[in-house]
Amino acid sequence: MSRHTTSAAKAGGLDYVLDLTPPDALYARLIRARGPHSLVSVDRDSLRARPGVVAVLDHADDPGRWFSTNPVAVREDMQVFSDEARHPGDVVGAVVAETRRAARSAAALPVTERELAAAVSLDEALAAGAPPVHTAFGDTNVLAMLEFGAPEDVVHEQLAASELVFDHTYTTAAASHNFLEPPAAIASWDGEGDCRVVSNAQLPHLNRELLAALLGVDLERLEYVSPPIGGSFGGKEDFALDLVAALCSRAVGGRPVVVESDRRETTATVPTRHAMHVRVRSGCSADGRLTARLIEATAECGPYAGHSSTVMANGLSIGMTLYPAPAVRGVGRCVALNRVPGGAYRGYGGTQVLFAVESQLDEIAGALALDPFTLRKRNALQAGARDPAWGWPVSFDLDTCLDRCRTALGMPGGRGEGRYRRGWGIAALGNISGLTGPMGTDSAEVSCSVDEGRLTITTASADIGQGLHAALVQVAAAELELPPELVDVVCDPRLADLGTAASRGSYLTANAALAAVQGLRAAAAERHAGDRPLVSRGRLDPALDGLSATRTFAAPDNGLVAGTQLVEVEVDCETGRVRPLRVVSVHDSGRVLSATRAQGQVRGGVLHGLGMALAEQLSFDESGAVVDPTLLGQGLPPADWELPIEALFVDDPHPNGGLGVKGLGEAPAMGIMPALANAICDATGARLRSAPFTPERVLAAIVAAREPAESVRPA
Amino acid sequence: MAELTLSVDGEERRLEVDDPFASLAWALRDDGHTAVKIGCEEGACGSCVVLVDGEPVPSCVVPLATLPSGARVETARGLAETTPGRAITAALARAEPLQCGFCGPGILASCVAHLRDHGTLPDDPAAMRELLSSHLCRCTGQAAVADTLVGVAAENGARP
Repeated sequence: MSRHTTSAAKAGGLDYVLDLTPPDALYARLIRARGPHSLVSVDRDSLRARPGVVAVLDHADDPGRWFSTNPVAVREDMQVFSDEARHPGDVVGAVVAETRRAARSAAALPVTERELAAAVSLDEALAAGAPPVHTAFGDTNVLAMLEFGAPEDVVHEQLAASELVFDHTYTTAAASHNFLEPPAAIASWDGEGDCRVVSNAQLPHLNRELLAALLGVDLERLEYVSPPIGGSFGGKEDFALDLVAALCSRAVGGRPVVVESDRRETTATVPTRHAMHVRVRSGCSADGRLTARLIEATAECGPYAGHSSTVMANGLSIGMTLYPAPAVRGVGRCVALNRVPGGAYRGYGGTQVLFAVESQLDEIAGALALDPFTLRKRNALQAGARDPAWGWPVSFDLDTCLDRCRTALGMPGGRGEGRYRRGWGIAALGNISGLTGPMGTDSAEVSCSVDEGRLTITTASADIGQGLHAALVQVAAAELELPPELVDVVCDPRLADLGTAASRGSYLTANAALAAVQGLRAAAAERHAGDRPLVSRGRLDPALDGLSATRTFAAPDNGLVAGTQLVEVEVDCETGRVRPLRVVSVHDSGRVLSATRAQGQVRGGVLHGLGMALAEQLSFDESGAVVDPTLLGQGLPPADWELPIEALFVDDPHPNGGLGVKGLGEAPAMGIMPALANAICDATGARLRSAPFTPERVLAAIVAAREPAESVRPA
Repeated sequence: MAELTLSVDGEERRLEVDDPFASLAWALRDDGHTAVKIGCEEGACGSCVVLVDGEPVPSCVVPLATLPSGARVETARGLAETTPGRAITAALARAEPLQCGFCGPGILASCVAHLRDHGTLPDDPAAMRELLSSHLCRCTGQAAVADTLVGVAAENGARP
């Protein structure tokens, strides 16, 4: 297979962004304020006088235009170098130096800060007379209020008319992505005013457009190189190091500048999974048919809007979609805080909202003495029905996922006696496979060409570690009946493709690759006026050299997927320690291209879900700063965890797109938190409504479960 | 400025020691040995593991200045060309378990050290996972890597 895509090449060391540092590069580090909210001045002269320092940039070097790292953010509210720090670690400048050490030590010096009133908690941000988190957008700390579905009065009427009403609130914590490769960028300018950037931004196509606009250069003058990326999970979507590198290089006459960041800086400042508080009110009949659903979510956001409103919109729509009812309403509130912003993270809001929805379904099932499969099947959106949010025919089969999950169940229900108690829990999940929706039709453009007997696939979508480029090799090799060794993949952000996000890679980009190689085959047939074999003597027919084809796949729908996840668990009722015993993850994600890659995605996603459910969280001190930004401090699942994780696929081809594929990247992370909470409840009777389920919380819930609960009330 | 002479992947290299706390990992990278990946600088992720006189070490927390002159350092790039290194990459090629690949060079170094000492990687899946336990994988959690490498022998990458 091509360079970049084989495990053998990876074990020998791929060239990631910092591995492409030119020998004459200068080193830059970001100057960060202590915050949480302050007016900042950088002492340029004293920093500039330090040994090895070549240039110091601060607010005076900012391009002077507000921007956002999310092209559909509710407001453009960021600057590259601000003079107002709005969260601990906010970027206020950069130091460029001859050595890494000189840049690091200079950038670590404190800057002069004049304290402004700050709000680092929801209570502070929402209080009457609360200080503005972002003084340029100061009238309210509510970044966005979103409403979907049935009108407010209708849903309340339906709730009031329901036989039973359930009302619970569930909370989740902020968490870091913990991708292994820290964010980095390299930039240089030549004498003609052309800029070359190498970065590990997750969405290079979008970043290239953003850079051109902020740097004031024509797009054609900006060469944007996207090497392999050492993990991202959404964490390199809010990415501006490329901008910093380009500004730094321009300030030193175009010499290459590499901007590095380290682990603690990354964990403390890269936009996180949003902490959310989700209240769910569900009305239902005594036999468990949902009559009204009201989901109200509040997200703890940072000072910059970024992805917050789209995370909230996605989370609510996922939470609303799976279970139609006469009235379904979602309301989202995004609250700005003087803390590290929330951003894109695998699941994109769905994880948090599904924790609430799928936990409450089990609370309802328990109150009605229904088993959790039956309650879900009684209410689930059926294949062939119209998706209530968007109106497309539903292409997933949640019923089959639930049945496969029930068949896989390997233990009886819980509530045993003694210290160690076992139980099981399930949760259903839904997700999108792309961004076709109210804002338009999502599409991807892919080129392929033949040169010296090899095929090159060119895409604007980066490989962030999920194996997209290996999938493109597989699609091309299979379609043209080529050995995969003859296929290379190149990432070129000039092609029209949003990039790797929203589980869209297989559905959008791989289907575009299929169309492109089919176009190439047609062109080859025309050139040969026949059907000569494409491959001979271990290479593509030399007569095909120079042939190319470019095709776009426009997704007619958002490729909804569904799944069901099962967790079997043992709880130590004396310590509150939770030990997952087995996970089964069932997915209807269309056709599966590669069992190995699909299982890898499921295993990784399940581990992200378990990490979030059991331990991973960012804690903040009274100044809003992250308490322990070390990697060891994040509570990540260890590599030697003895935990069987089984991935099962319905493998039902999607009707749209030639491959029959849909997305799988995010789904496996999305149902684990509620499935685990439901399993803990099955084992112990204790209901966990705050994640992560630390031993302290589990013990407290076990104690609370011994007291009579009031979760059901007559309407 | 002090200098230190090391053998890196079989080649004699003279490295400047300008900072007593500078790590071996950065020194190697700045000398062009970019197969050494740096993920955390706290010895937690295992991406930077190299062999020093045959022993796997997380080079991001090893100060360069503490190495004896003449120490033999092997990185993944050199190790991939050795017989045990080829056994590991051949096994990986059969199943393609690595995703983003950032953890790969450190895993290769740890596994080569084990192969040299024992002739094969552990037959027992739990022992194989234990061998990988100092290598964090955020893409898949290493299970597929462990499944692929369990029982691999140094000679030809075949399972005995």
